[in-house]
Parts: sequence; C-alpha cells; structure tokens
Amino acid sequence: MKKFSQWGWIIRGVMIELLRRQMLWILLLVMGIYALISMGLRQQGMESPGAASFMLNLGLYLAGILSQLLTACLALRQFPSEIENRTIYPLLAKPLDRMNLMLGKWMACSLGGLMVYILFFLLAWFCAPAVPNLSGGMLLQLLLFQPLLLAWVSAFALAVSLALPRGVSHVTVVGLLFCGEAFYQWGAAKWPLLYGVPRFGGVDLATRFTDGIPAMSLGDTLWMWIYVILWILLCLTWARGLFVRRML
Amino acid sequence: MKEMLNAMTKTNTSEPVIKVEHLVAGYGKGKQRTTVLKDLSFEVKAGECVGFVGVNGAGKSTTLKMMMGFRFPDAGSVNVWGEKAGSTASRQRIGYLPEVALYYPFMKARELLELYGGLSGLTRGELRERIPAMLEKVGLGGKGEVLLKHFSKGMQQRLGIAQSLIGQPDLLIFDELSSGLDPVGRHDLRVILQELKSEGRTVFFSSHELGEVETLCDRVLMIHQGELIRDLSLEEVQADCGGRSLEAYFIETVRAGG
Amino acid sequence: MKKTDLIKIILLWCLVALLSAKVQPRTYTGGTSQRLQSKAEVKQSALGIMLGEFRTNLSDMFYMQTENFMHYGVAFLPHNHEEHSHTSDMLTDTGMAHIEGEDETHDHDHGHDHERDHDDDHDGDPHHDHEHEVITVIPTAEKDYRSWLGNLHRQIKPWQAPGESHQLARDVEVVPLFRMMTLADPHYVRGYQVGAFWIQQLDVSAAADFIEEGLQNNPHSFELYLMRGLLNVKKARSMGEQGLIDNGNAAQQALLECARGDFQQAAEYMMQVRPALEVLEDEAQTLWSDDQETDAMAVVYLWVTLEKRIGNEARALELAEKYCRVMPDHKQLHVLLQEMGP
Repeated sequence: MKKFSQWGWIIRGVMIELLRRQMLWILLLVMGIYALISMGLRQQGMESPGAASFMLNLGLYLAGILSQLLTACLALRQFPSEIENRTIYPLLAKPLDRMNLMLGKWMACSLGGLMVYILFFLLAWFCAPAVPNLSGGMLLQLLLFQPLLLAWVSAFALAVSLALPRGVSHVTVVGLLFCGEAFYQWGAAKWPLLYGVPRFGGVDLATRFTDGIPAMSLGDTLWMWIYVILWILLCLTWARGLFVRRML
Repeated sequence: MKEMLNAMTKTNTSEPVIKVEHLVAGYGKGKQRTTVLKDLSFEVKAGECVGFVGVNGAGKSTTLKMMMGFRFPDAGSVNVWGEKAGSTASRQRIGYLPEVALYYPFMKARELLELYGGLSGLTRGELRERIPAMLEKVGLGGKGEVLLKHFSKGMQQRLGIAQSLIGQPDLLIFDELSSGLDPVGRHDLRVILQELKSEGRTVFFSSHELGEVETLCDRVLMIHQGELIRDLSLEEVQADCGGRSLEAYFIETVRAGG
Repeated sequence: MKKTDLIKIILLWCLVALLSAKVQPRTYTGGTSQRLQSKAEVKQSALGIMLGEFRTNLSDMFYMQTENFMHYGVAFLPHNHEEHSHTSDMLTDTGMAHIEGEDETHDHDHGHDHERDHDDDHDGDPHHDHEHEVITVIPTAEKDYRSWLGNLHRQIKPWQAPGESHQLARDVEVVPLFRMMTLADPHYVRGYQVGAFWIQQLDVSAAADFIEEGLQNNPHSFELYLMRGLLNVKKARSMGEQGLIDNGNAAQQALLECARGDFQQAAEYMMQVRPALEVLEDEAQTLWSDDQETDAMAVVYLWVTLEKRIGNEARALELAEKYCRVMPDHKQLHVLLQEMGP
C-alpha cells in the first residue's frame, strides 16, 4: 500500500510539472489552431470524403505525435534535471526505493501523456468533419494501443535519458519517434539489425483507422501487443540497470 | 507526552545509530581512480549531536552520501539504525539536507513539502497540520503558496531544512548545514538544532562554520585526506584547544597533517 | 550495470527484433506519388500526403527544369518569323519571362553579338524587326531579382545560337537533375525512365544501374521494365558488328532473352494497371495518362517484334492478335499483324 501511495505522490509531482511548464500550452495552441481550421472547414461544408478523412487523419496524427512528444520530453527531463539540481538527494533520502522512484516516474509520464492524448483526441474527433465508413473495431484497437505506445515512449525516454547526455538523448528519442518506423521500412530487409529499431510509428494506428481499413485480426493484435509489452519490459530493465546502482 | 517518551527511548539505546567501518571509496575509473576515503571508521550514538569537519575535498560529503546510500563503498560498510546504508528501512527515520539543491521551480513551497512528507509516509491530515508549522519554524511563514522559482538561495536552504524535518525523523544528516543562510537564518537554524537536540534526536552534520560546531555539538569528528584525524567530545576539544577557538585548533591540526 | 541485467536486456532486444517482422500495421499497399491511378486508390496519412506531394512537386520542378534546359537552352532567340510566332505561342502557354530582343542586346555581350549576327543574316527579311520576344531560362539583368547571383549565372551560361542544335545544352548537363528528382521522390518513375535515356547515350551500364535502382523503388513499374528491355537490346546490338544481331552469338542471344523477359514482365504489369477499354474512354484523363498509353503501346510492339526477330513467329502472331484486341488504336501493331498474317 505504501508503494502505491509513493507512486501517487510522484505522479502528482510530475502532473504539477506538466501543467506548469510551457510545453503543454504550446502544444495545446497547435491543437487549437488545428481545431479552428477544422471547424471552419466543417462550417463551410466539405463535400469530398477524401478531404474530410484528411482532416480527421491530421487531427488524430497530431493528437498522437504531440502527446508522444510531450511524454518523451517529460520523461527525458526527469532524471537528468533531478540529478543536475540535486533534488534526487532529498527524494532518495525518503524511504523510497530507487526502483519505485523509477516506476513512479514512468507511470507519471505515461499518465500525463495519456491525459493529453485524450484531450487532443476529443478535440480532433469533435472538430474534424464526419467521415463515413470508419471501422469501430479499428477505433477500439487505436485506443487500446495508444496508452501502450505512450507507456513505451515514456520507458524508452527514461532509459535513454539515463544512458546518454541530455542533448543526444533528446535527438535520439525524438528522431526515433518520427523516423523509427521509416528506418525499419527502409532498411530492415538490407540490414537485419534494424529489426531492433523501436517502431513507435508502427503502433500508431490512426492512419489505418482514417483510411477505413477494418480492424486487425486477433492474431495480429496479439503480436503487436506482445511486441510493445516486451519493448516496455526491455526499456524498464535497461533503465533499472542504469539507475539502481548508479553513483549519485 | 508521546514525543517525550519517544525521545527517552531513543536516547537510552546504546546501539550506534551510525556505524562506519573501514570505509574505502573513490571516484573515477581505472588509472584515473582517486581514493577519497581511506579506511574510515567511526560510530554515532543515539541522541548525540556530532559535527563532521574537514577542509574542501577531505571526503565529508562522500561519507554522508555513503550513509544515505547515494554512493556505494569500494570496501568497508556503513550501517544506519542497524540496517545497511541506503536500504529503505535505514532511511525510514532519516532526515537529510543536501549541500545545495535547487528545488523544483514549478512547485509551490507547500506542494514541495507535501511531496516529501507524502513520500515519508505522512497522511494528508498530518501534512495539513504540519506544513504551515514547519514553514513558520524555518522562517518561511506565509510563503507556502509562492512558486519556488521566486525563492532566493537562502530561502531554498530554509525550505531544504523544512523538508528534512517534515517526517519528524530520529536521525538528521545535514551536508553543509548553514550554506547560503544569512546571519538571521543561521541563528534560527541553531535554535532549531537546539530544539532537536533537546528532543533527543540524533544530529550528524558537516560544516565549515566551526563556531556553529563548537556551540551545538557534543562531539567533533575531523577528517583530513580521507582519514579520521580527531574524534573528540566537546570537553576534550575544549581541553585540547587550551583557550583557543576551535577554528584555530582545526587549522593548526590540519596544517600539521593530522 | 550488472551482468545479469545486461544479459536480460540483450535477450529482450533479440526477442523484440524477432517479433518486429510480425508487426505489420500496413498490410495494405503503400501509394506511389507518380501514378494517377495510385493517387485515386490509395489513401495515406495526412502527413504522408503533404510530404509526398511536396516531394513530387520538387521532382516535377526538376523535370520541368530539364525540359527547359534541353529544349530552350539558356536562351532562345527566334531565327525567323515562323520561330518567332511559335515562341510567342509558347510564351502565352507557359507564362515564362519574356523580353524584347532589342532590350536583351543591351544586357549581354554574347546576346548582342548573336543578335547582330542574326540581324546581319536577315537583312533582307522584311518581316524581321526588333520587337520579337524571346524565352529565356536565365532571365536578363533587368528582369532578374537575383542581382550579382544572376550576373554570375549569365556569365557562366552565355547565350547560344539557336540554329546550331535543337538541344541547346549538352545532354550530360541534365543528368544531375534526374539524380535529384529521383532522390526527392523515389517513386518518380518518369525521372528514372527519361534519366536512363540520357545516361545511356553516355554510358549504357550506368543507365542500367539507374534503372535497377528505379525498379527497386518501384518494383511494379512497367515503364522501367520497358526501359530495361530497351537497354538490353542496345547492349546486344553493341556486341555485334555494325550493331547487327548475329543468331550465332550466344552473348547477344542471352541479352535478347533478357530483353524479352523484361518486355513480357512490362506487359504483365501494364495490363494490371491499365484501365479497361470502356473506362479508358470515359475517364482517360484521370486514370491513365497519354505518356502511359504511349509506353504501353511501345511495350507490346517491342515484345512482338523481338519475338519475331528471335524466330518465335507463332508466338509473335499470337501476341499481336491479343494486343490488337486490347489496343484497337495501336496502328503500328495492326500493320505488323497484317504483315505477319497468313
């Protein structure tokens, strides 16, 4: 029980950070601009289903990538700034296990990202023009994988922030967020090492949904689910290895 | 009454609160490795107030970090409350003040104390009750709703003291106690420490302010180049000093190479 | 980090790498930006569409640059009245920069010389005057906003006499443009196709490599198979004396066999994407471009003639009959069929 309470306090701290930092409001502004344009177009009436699907896709894509970006930046900042500002000392002076601190930070960043995603998703969904023939199953899968994706991004960013210097870790994580899937598609056939690239884009099913593609089969869903879960485990193991015995 | 009873039980125990045995530690890797602590051993008993003094780079902060489990020794051991240093159980009853910390600029003083208090296991009711009193105690009364980015270095240090006391710990470990504090702050801090001493809490702190050490401590540990060169009670210090100040005695001892 | 942690991490990484192949969110065909048909059928992500369009636009721009470069050179001065009127037509079509020839002579020494020579040559021409307009790829100093950069450009690309050649620039100079357009958009099939044509005039094997790259990026492009077939024929011809095919030359025959395979493959892919006749008549503009139809005709014609050339008369006849039905407007194929017919 004590562990849960400690996680709760860490999550609260990260949420306060999320709300009081500028980044959330900048992203909200971007989403707001999208919402205004989208509502304006909706008001005028969009006859072409292609254009409506384009706008919905743009909204869902923005909701996904912006929340991932926010999660990554939040997670990337946690440990380096705690160590740099020496706030890690009073934190770890409390009866708080290092592993629990790490898990708390991971959950906090994932939850923060998820809350922002839900907000952005609703904005995109209600502001974009209606698109016919969308698959409900696919929407369910999209919403099932988005929290997992954010948890993965958060774990990966935490691990990378502990492994690499600050600037390099930002470039690496943001680069892989945008280009991980493209790297894989481009070179995995030639260089098998690229099978190990984190394919964040591959798990974002927004485009599949707005293209009107039916839901994935149970088998495919399961494989994707296992893939993401394994990645999360890998990142958390990596972060634990780097943090638990780290000299502070 | 309960606190008094607690204090009495704490002071009566003969088991050392801190036990450092043959501690060896260093920084760097391979040929770059520098040994900072060389076979350091000492004990601190319950209810004692111990000053840990030494020149810059003597190994004070490293020793304190070992006690908290922030760093790990190359050899030897550190036990706190009979538990291995760094274990959750050992930290259950410790309040720690780091040398200099820049607390989260996006948080308010109240929120920060809630966070640290919450992590120490306090309930929301206890927090509501304790935080205003604690802020008042460290001279930050009425600043609970101010964002920490507006706090000066001295105010941050006062807040640091408040966070270390919030869980009402039995052992207080302060690294560079009065760093960044103005004369009024130092005076307030002395009052707080006297209070803690009278409550029977164990205090272990490092400081460059030897006057402070002289005033507050029951015992002084002097460290030089990673080795303990003096372990004296206040009476022994006064006898050794022969009418000189502790500062003069310290300078002389260090110059003589221990 | 502990060794056990490291081992766990490596094992987990190997597992995710193995699983990665199982995760295929895009089980539907990815779109190519070049084909109208693909554009109509395949949807993409909003960002993909925007970036894809941008890349295609960039390639289009490079392609237009090659057209300008090869056909107009750095400047085009009308040689006679007929050319003058043709130039004027083009001006209204393209909306490109136009200037008066007389003004031009003040800005460019070379231009001035050419103009003067040109005037000397046409002293007796009653229609000739100084009011004719010219198209220029490089604008004159007056019209050029680039200041010293424009001057530099004019210095290194002086005017050339239009009468000397239809292609006013050396073909090798456009090759980098084809490289850039296919880098900008690897699905820009026309870039590979036309680029390979210019490259093969310089180096056939380099052209073949270029086409191979194009085929890797566009494995179902019938245009690129057509081009590869043509290159194989050219290679075969270059092996024979005076470019003739010798039935006894094994290397030549092997290359022709490759070319036949290419044409066959091209025809197969072409038939997959070419709309049905009735659709073609209705919606030719949106689904199937004239260039594609021309290439399609070339594929079947070359395949039939090659089959005939290597002695498969019956197969050639069969193919000709088949494709005459598919392409009733293919006049050359009908003529060939008549020649082959009983």
